[in-house]
Amino acid sequence: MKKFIIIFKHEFKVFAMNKTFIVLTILGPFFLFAISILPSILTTNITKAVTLVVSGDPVNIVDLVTASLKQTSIKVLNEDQFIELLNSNKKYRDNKNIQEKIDIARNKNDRNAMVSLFDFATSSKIIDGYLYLNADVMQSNKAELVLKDVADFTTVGTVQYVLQQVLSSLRLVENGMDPGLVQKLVVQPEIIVKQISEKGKIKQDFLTVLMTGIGFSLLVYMTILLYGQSIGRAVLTEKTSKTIEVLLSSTKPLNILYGKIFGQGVAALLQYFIWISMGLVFLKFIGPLVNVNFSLPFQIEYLAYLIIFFLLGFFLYAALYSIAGAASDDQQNLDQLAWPFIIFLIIPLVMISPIVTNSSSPLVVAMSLFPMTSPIVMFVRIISSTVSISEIILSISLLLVFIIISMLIASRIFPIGILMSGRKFSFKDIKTWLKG
Amino acid sequence: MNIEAKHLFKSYGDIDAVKDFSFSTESGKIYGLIGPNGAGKSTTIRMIMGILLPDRGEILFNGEKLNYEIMEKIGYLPEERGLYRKQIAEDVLVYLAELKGLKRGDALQRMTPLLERFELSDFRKKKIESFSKGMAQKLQFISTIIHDPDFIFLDEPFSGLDPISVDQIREILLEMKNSGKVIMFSTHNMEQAEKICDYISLINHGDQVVSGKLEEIKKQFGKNSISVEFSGKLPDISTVAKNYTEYPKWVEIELKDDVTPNQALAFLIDKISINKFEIVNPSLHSIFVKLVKEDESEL
Repeated sequence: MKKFIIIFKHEFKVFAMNKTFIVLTILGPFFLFAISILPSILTTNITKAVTLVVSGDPVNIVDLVTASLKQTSIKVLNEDQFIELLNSNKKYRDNKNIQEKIDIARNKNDRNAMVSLFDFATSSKIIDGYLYLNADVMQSNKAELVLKDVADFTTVGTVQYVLQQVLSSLRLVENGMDPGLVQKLVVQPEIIVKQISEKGKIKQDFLTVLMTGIGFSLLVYMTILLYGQSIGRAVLTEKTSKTIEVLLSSTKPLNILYGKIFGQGVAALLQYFIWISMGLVFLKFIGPLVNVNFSLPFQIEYLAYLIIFFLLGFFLYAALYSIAGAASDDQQNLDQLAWPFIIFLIIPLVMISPIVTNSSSPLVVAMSLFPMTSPIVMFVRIISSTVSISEIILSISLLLVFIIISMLIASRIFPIGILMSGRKFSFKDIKTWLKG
Repeated sequence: MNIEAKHLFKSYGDIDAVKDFSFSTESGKIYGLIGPNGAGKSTTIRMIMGILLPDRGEILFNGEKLNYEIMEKIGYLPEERGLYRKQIAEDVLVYLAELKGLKRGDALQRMTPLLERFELSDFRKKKIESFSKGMAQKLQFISTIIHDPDFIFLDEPFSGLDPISVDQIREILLEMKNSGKVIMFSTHNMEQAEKICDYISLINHGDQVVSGKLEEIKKQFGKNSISVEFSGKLPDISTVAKNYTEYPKWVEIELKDDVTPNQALAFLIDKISINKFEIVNPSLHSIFVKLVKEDESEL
């Protein structure tokens, strides 16, 4: 125990006094601030920023769609306003080609010329896109929405909804219904999204939850990977520099292994505490003083889950990285051996959108219980949906079991691997060492 | 204080690294492990240190098996040097000393005279990556002895050091020997082994070829040898020599059984200009070469 404590203190000190650690600790709160608060700001700004031109042949439909879209956060321009916007820029006012096209579009009523101006303006980011309604829109039920950013599903959804409402209303009127009655009956409901928790309901919006989910999953991914790699590199360095032999003359291999993992683990935990404390101090005391009032997009108590899942994820990947470090002969070898388990950290990041939007699906639930992915997935599920306490306990329990198994495997492989050198070792070699 | 190793065996797959190695040491003696590359010296030392487990055999320290208490009384300098390059020298010395049971305060106190002796005081607060190779090796030697161990194991301690540093380490080893420590080291440097070892063990291909007191081994193999310091080119001496080791200005000759030193002198006197002629015990180097050649011819 005495030797373990000496190694633990040494590893903690070396890790915590490292320049990278200090810089990350200082910059971390800004990152945490960004991922906690910015999603709320950004989602508002995203919807406000879209400028669309509505154009086409059925003037009445164009006017109705324009009027409906103006009630959303989308900024709508008609053709005249679009030309005015274009000519407000001297560069385009003096551009002969553009002015010729404007003349052709207006004077000869050439739709192709007007559409080519829309395309030019969209690709030049003068506008975000345009909606073009052909003469047969009522019959074909099709319209063309051209956007610079086709991933902007909010804008796409809004335009689709508005167009659907307008066309449905017109069809009802065409079939003899009173226009006034149609207007009363076809009313867009306002949907207020709320998340349920033990404290009741909290107003929530999808993009905020998605961005928060992405942000925190990135945080957990980066910190687990960073600290895990640090363990692997430290083991490899001690092995290749033969410092390990000096240590082995003083203590048993397992004291070195556990001292390293726990020493760096506690340093990482300290860093998380500093980040969270600085963030909370800002939110509670400094924010109001400087007239900045933000709130976390989830309950503060959930930060405890962040720490728990980060810590469990760290211990799991630290054990795996220590195995890889002990079995490696150089950094390249270490990266090759580590790759198969890093994949499990990357998968949740790639699948973050379905994890947030479909958090109760069997696949996502399974990922939140599978120990290799649960440190990230379960926390994202907790902040984006209601997860039962029994699921959380099960996820934590499975993680603990996996950690114990990984530590036991590391305990077998580490003492052998650290003394083996001279060539690159493969999984086959590791398997042999495991069998003893 | 003593160490006793009985019938140690260690193999790696099909390769027998150490076969039936035994020795015994006493307080205040220096024990040398000598052998060519790959002979099994480092493996032997690692087994004694407890870094490797022998396949068979027993190692006892003062009659006991290796435990934490004994580990704290051992100082070990591995063949391949390595310390934490990104860390400060003082911190590394304290860490390694604490692992050997020393308190931080005591470690700080003890390192001061040792750093001064090796002229490293100015580098106490510097990172090890700023040390030259020789300086790093001296620092590592300090880490080996800072806790005043009773048993000291040094794997190639003089390798890569300049003559002054070699002398500094040799002086300290002799001081430790005189204070009753048990010292074991492996080396290729025959001259150093000859100067400071009381006991030697010659290992070749894992076999213990010869073992015992240095003086007795030299007497055992030291029959009929001469040492000649000369000028000029050494002629063909196969008529008088069974074996010889030639250096630029002198030669050590093991004479044939039927050749006396006088006869050898008469043979050489009109062929080279002799500056010094001496009847000697053979050097460890020539014993080493002879035994290794004999051992390899038997194989």
